[in-house]
Amino acid sequence: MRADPVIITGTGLIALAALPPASPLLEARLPTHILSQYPVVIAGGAVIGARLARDRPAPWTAAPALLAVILTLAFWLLPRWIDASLTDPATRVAKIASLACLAGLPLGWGWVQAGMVLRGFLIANAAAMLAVMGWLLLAVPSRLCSAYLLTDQRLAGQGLLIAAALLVIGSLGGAMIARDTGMRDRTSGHRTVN
Amino acid sequence: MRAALATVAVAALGAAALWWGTDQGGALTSEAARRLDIAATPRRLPDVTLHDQTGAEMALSEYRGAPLVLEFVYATCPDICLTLGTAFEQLDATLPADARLVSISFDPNDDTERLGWFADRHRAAPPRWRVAYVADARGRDALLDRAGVVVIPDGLGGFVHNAGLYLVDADGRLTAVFDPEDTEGLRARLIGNAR
Repeated sequence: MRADPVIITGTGLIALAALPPASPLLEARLPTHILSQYPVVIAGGAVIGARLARDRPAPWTAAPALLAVILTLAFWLLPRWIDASLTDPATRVAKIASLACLAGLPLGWGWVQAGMVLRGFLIANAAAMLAVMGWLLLAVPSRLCSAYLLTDQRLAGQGLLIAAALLVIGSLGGAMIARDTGMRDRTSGHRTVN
Repeated sequence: MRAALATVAVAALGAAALWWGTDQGGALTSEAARRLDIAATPRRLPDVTLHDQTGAEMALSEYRGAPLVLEFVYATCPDICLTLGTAFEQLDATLPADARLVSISFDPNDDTERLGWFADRHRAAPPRWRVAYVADARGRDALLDRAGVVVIPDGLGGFVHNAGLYLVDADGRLTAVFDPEDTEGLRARLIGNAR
């Protein structure tokens, strides 16, 4: 089988964020850990997932795939498991593997397979989860992660709120553009919903 | 139909993972998880040699036979260790006569003189209350690791650490960790254990 450049790119992204020299730097601070390492690993998986889904239409897989994304991300945002991934090498491997394969891969796959409603559902859910987590990191007076300072916790909280806001604004913008072009697509026979 | 079944299956798996990963919803943080784990399966602490504020040496294992309360501090600590010191003052005043207190420093730079500052501030005196450091770095790390104490530099020359009061039973097993404010809970448990 010939190596696919998209799959190489995705694997490269995962390796870049998960291996030294970048990983110790990213994991040294809470904001870079969950707002840089996580997104890059997930993006790497998503690129591969989207590529795999391209010529394999299976709309029924979209909902379970996107649900897996939400649940996997929720698990690795638990302060307990953020801490554990720093002290236990096996947990670190499990974190990277599941963020790539159970969050990234199904994100790319499910996004391609999903219709507008499911995509909207995913974005609303992800934004709500990031906002709640961000609010929690800002509101709790004590440290939630034993491995990180309180100042880092506050920074990460602000970052998560910003990420949630960008997600909502971005998808709203996307929806408006889609509505404009959707009219044209429909008359020319393109599929916009499934 | 396939979609619904697969979605329910993923939801069930995810819920199970989160249920397991939080100890049935009870432990969202590693601190809560540590305390649950210690309460469920008491841990035997490694034996280390303590050097106290008077310069005397003593093995941690010599405390067997009577209840012992530990806390982990450093001599130049500006905030949480003061709370811990105050908690120990209260325990000093209220615990049964055979109970012992040891404030253990995790700062490699702490010596007899610096521990004296901490001891004087809180009127700690052996044999009831020792303020001690562990000279052997490997022993110190093993003790901190076993007790689940996580120490990180605060970037200002000090440390940030998960604070607690550590109850060790007469057999030398760490059986519970309490909040620094919860001296009453610790006293009740210690007296309950002794009975």
